[in-house]
Amino acid sequence: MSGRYVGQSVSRNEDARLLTGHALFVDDVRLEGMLHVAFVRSDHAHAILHSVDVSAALERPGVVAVYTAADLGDYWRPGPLLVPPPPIEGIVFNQATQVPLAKDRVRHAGEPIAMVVAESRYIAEDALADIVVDAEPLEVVADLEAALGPDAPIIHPQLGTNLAAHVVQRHGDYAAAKERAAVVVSRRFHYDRGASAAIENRAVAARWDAQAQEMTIWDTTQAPIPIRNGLAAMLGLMQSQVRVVAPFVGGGFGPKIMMFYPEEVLVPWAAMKLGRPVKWTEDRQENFYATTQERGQVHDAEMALDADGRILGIQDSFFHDTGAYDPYGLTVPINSQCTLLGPYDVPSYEAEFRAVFTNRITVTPVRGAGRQHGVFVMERLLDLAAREIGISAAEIRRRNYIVQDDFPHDHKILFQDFQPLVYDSGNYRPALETALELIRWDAFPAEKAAAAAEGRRLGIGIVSYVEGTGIGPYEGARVTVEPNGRVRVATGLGTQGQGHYTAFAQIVAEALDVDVENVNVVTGDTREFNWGTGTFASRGAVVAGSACHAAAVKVREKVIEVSARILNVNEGEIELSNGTARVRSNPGHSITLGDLAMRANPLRGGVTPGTEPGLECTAYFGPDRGSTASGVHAVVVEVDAETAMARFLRYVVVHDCGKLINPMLVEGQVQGGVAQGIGNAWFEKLVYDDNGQLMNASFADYLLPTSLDVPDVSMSHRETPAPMNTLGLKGVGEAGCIPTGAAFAQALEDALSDYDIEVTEIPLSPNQLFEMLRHAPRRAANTNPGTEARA
Amino acid sequence: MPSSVPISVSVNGRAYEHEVEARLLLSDFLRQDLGLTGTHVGCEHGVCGACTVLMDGEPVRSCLLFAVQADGAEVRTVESLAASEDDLHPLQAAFRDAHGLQCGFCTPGILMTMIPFLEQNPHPTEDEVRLGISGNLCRCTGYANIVRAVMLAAERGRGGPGADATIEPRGVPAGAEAH
Amino acid sequence: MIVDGEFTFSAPRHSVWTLLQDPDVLVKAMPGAQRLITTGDGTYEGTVRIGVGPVTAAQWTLFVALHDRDEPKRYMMKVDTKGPLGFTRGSASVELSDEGEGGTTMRYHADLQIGGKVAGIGQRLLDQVAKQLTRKGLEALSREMELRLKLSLGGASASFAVGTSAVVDGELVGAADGDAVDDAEIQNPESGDAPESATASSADGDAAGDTAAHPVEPLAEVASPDSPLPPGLASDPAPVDDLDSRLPPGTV
Repeated sequence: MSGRYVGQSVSRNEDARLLTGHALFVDDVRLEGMLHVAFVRSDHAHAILHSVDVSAALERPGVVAVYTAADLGDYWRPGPLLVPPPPIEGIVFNQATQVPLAKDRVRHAGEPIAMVVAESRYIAEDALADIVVDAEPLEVVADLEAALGPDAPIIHPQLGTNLAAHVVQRHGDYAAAKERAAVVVSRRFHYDRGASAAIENRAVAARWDAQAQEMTIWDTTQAPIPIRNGLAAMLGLMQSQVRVVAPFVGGGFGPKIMMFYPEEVLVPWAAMKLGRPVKWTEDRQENFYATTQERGQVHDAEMALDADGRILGIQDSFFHDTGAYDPYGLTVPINSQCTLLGPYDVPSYEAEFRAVFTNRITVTPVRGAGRQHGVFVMERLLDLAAREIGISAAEIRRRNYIVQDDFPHDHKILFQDFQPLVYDSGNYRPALETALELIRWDAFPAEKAAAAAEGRRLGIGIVSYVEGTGIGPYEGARVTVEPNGRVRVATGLGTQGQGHYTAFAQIVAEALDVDVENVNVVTGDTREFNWGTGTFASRGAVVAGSACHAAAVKVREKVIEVSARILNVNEGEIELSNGTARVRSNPGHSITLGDLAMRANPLRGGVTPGTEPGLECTAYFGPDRGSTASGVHAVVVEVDAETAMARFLRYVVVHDCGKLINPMLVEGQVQGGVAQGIGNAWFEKLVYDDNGQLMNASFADYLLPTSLDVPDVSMSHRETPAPMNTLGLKGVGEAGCIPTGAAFAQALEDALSDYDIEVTEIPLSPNQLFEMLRHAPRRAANTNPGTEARA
Repeated sequence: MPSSVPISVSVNGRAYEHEVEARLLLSDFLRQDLGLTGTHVGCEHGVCGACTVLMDGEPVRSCLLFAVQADGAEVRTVESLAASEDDLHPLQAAFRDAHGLQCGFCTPGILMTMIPFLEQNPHPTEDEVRLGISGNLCRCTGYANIVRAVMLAAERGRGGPGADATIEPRGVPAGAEAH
Repeated sequence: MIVDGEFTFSAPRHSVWTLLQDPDVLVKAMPGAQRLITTGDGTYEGTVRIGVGPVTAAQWTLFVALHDRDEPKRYMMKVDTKGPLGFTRGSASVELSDEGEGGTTMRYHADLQIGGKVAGIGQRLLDQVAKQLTRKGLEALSREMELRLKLSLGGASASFAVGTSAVVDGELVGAADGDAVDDAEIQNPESGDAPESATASSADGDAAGDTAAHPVEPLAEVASPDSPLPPGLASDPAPVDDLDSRLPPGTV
C-alpha cells in the first residue's frame, strides 16, 4: 500500500495545537482545590533510615499533609517486576523493585523519603526544610566490579549479594574459533550513557471523584494502559473506575515508560485520601535524581578473525550497572548482548554479563536501550582488527555482512522480547556503499590533506548496526466511521512527539480512501481504548500502525459489504473513493461513508442476525517477533589537537526502516536521534563520585547539544519491507542515536592518526581527550592503514 | 504569612492587577495565576530557554524573573501569536510546514526567541539562525528543521519567490526492494 | 573533595595552637558561623549559614570532633555538617611548625564528602568556593589572633565577649559587629573545610556560657559577585578583578 498518503510527508495535524500553546501537558492541568506536592529525598546514596520527624512541617501554614512510609500502611509495597527475565538457560536473576517511600533504608541519592502536600509548590518546598531525617550513612556501592567483591556492602540484604543477574548466551564454539584464528583482538571498553533529559520533566496529577467513584490521572507516561491497570489494582478499584490520560508529553525517550515510579503511585493515593486533586511536577534537579536513566557497562571483549578479516567468533563479558533496583528486568543488557552481533555473520558467540546493583538511581531504557554499548564493542573490535590486518574500516565490514540470501538469519540466542534473535530481513552492503558515497569517502584523503595544509585536522568514520524493532506483545486500534463522515481512530499507545496522530491518520486515510484531514486520532487516553502496552523499543508506528491498518481494512470490508447491499450490486463492483463508496461502472451510484455509517445503525427494522451495527472495527496486531531495521552511519569530524575540541562536520545516515509512512517524520526522528547520539558521544556525562553523589545535576553542567553542535544529517532511506506486518514497517525511533559513539571514536582516531591513541571509552570529553593526547606517543601520520586503504 | 506585592502588568495586551508573593517566578505567575500555560518550564535555571517570553519586546527567561520584576512591563507570551489554531502566525505556520517541532514542549520558547530575532534580522543566514537559537535546547528535533522553519518564515516574510515555499523531504528513497 | 594548603600566622606556635581550638576565636573567623559551643573534650557543635552560588543559603548544623591531638604539633578532626541542602562528612589534619621569628606555619589537609542538593551543582564551583573560603577564614583567623595577642600583650581590657563590636582600627573582624549586620545571609561553603575551625576545649574557661552562645548576625548582603564589601571589612589593598576581592568574607 503506497500512494495517496502512506509514503507522503503529510503535515502534522497536532502542530497547530502545540504551536499556539494550547496543547495540554500534565503540568498545565489546573483543577479546583488542587494541592501540590514536594518530596523529601535522600541526600545519602546509602543509609539506614532511623527516623523522619515531620512535626514541624505539619505546623507550617498551608501544609495539608505529610506522609512517610509508615503512613501508607498496606499501600506500601515494592513495585511490580515490569519485565521478567527471559527464559535463558542457567540465568541468575535477583529481583528488587522500588518502593513508594523509603522505609528503614535508602539506596540512592534522591530516593523519596517523605511526601509533603500543600496549597502550593512553594509552600511544599518550604516545608521540606522543616523535616528532619535521621539517616546513618552506609558505605556506598559505586564500582561495578568491587560491588561483587567479598567486602562490598550489600544493598539488598535479603538477596545477600549485589548481583542482579548473571546471563550467559552462546552459539557455536568460541574456543575452537580462537584456535583457528589468524588475528585475535581484545580490549576493555567502557560505554556510558546518560539522562534522557526530555525538556518536559515528569508530572502526575490525580482527581478522585468520590460521587462518581472515579479516578482520573494525568501522567507523563509512555504507557497509559499498563499504568491504569496497575494503579487500579493498587488502589483497590476496577480498571473501569480509573482513567489515565497521557496528554501531550514533552519527550519520552524511555524513562517515561518506567512505571510505578514512587510519585506515580503516591499522587493518586493522596488524592483519594485527601479528597482533593493533587499534582506533582518534577523540577529539573529532581529529574536527575528521581527519573531513571541509562548508565554504563564495562566490557572485556575479544574477536577472533581469519587472515582475511572474517570474524570467526566473538567473546564478550561485561558488567552492567542496573542501579539500586531492577524493575525493568534485563532489557538493557540483553539488548547490548544481542545488538552487539550487528549485521555481521558471527559463527561463534560467547556472551556473558553480570548486572550489578549500585547505589544510584535505577537504570531503565533510554533511547537505544543498551544497543549503543553492544554496537560500540563490535564496531571498535572491527576497527582494531582492520588496523592489524591492513584493510579499511569499510572493507572489513563488507567482508562480514550477512549476505542477502541468508535471511531469516537466526543467531540462536534470545532477544529482549524473549524470542530467538532472528533477523527477518535486511540488505546491508548497498547501505554501506550509499553511505560511503554520501560521506564522500573516496575523496576524503584529498580532503583531509587539503585541510591539513590549512592546519585543520579532519577524520572520518563509518559504522554499521542492526536494530530489533517493532516487537510485541501487541497493540490495538479501533476505527469508526461517524455519521458526519469523519473517521475516528483510537489506540492505546501514547505519543511524545513522534507524530503518531498523523502517521496513524495516514494509514487509515489510505485504507479507507478518505481525506487525511478527516481522520481524527485519539491516543493516550485509557477511556478511549482499553488494551495496549505502550510506546517503547521503536515499536509505536509498527505495532499500533499495523493495528490501525488492520482495523481500517476490516472497516473497509464492512463498507464494501454494506454499500454493496444498499447499492444493490456485488461486492466486487464497489470501489472506495474520496470518502464515498460507489459502483465502479457507474460512479454516480454512490453513497458517502457518513451516510453509510448512519444506515448501518438503524433505529428501526430488522437486521441480518450476527450483524454488528455501524462502521466500526477493532483489531489487534501482535507480531511473534520484531522486525529488523538496520543502518550505516558515517561521520566527518574536525579536531583541534591543542585544545582537544572536536566538532561534527558532516553526518550521514543510511537506514532501512522498511516502508516509510511519512518521510518527514522519519527524518525528524533520525535527525533528533543523531543529536542525542552526539550528546552521548561528546557532551553528556553523568558524573557520580564514589559516594553515589551526582556532581552535575543541572543543565549548566550536564550539557545537552545545542543548535551549534549538531550538523544537518544527510539521509538516505532504504526499504526492505518487513515480512512481519502487512505494511512492511520497521521502527526508526532509536536509529539515529545507536552507533554515534562508535562512529565518533573511529573518526577521532582517524583525525589523530599521528597520535598513538585508542578510543575505548565513550563519552569522551575535551578534558579526557586532552589528557590522552598529552600522554600519547607520536607516530608518523597516516600509518593507520585504515585511512589509506580506502577500497 | 508572606507579604503580597501589588503589581500591574500587561500580558498579551491585557492589563492585570494582581497581588503576588515577592518570590513568585514570572513563569509561575503566567502559568498559574493567569492560566497562560503555553509558556513551559524546562529547567528553572535559565539554560533551556523553554520559558522564554517577551518583556517590553526583549526575550527573557521567565524562570529567572520574579513576577514583581514585571511590574509596569508589557509581556508577550506564545498565546499572543495566533488568533486561533486555524489562523496561525506566519512563523508558526512555517514551523508546521517545515516540521520544526516534535513534542512541542520547547517550541513556545523558540517562537518567542525568534519573533524579535526576525524583526531585527529579516534576512538571516542559516548560521545566524543557528546562533540565534543556540540558547534554546531541543531534545527531539536535532535543530535542523527548526533552522529550516525560521529560514522559511524569513523567506515567506519577504513576500518574494519563496512566499509559497514548501519544504521537500531531504531523504531520497533508494527504492523499495522486494524481499 | 580535597582542600589543602598552608598558611602562616604571625604568632608563636603555642598561641596558635591554643587559639585554634578556642570556639570564640573560630566562630569569628569561620565564614557564616552563627554559633559554636563545646560539647565535650575536643567536641563541638554549632550552626553556620551557608549558600553556594545559585544554591540559597540555609542553616547547617555542624559537628566537629578532634582526635589524635599532639600539642603543639598536630591534630586531626572529624567534621559533619547537615542541612536542607545536603551534608558534608570528612576529616582534616592540621600540622603546625615554627616559621621564622615568632611565626607559625599551618599545613592543613581536608578530605570531604559532599552530598545532597549542593553537591549536584557541580564540583568545580564547590572546589573554588572551598579554597576561597578557607583562605578568607584563615585570614580572618589570623587577624583575630593578632588582635588578641596585641591586646593581651598590651593589657587592654577590651573584651571579646559575645556580640560586642570587635572593631579595631576600623577593621571588623569576623561578622560579630552589629553595624555590619543586617538580615541577609552570609554565603558560605561547608564550614567543614575551614580547617581553622578546629575547635579546642576552651581551656581558658572564660565566660564560657557567654562565649558559647555566640549568635552571629548574618551580613546584609546576599552574596553575589557584585555585592560591595560591607563597611569595615578588610579588603584587599590591590584592586584585582577577580571574584575574591568583590565578595565579603564568607561569600561565594
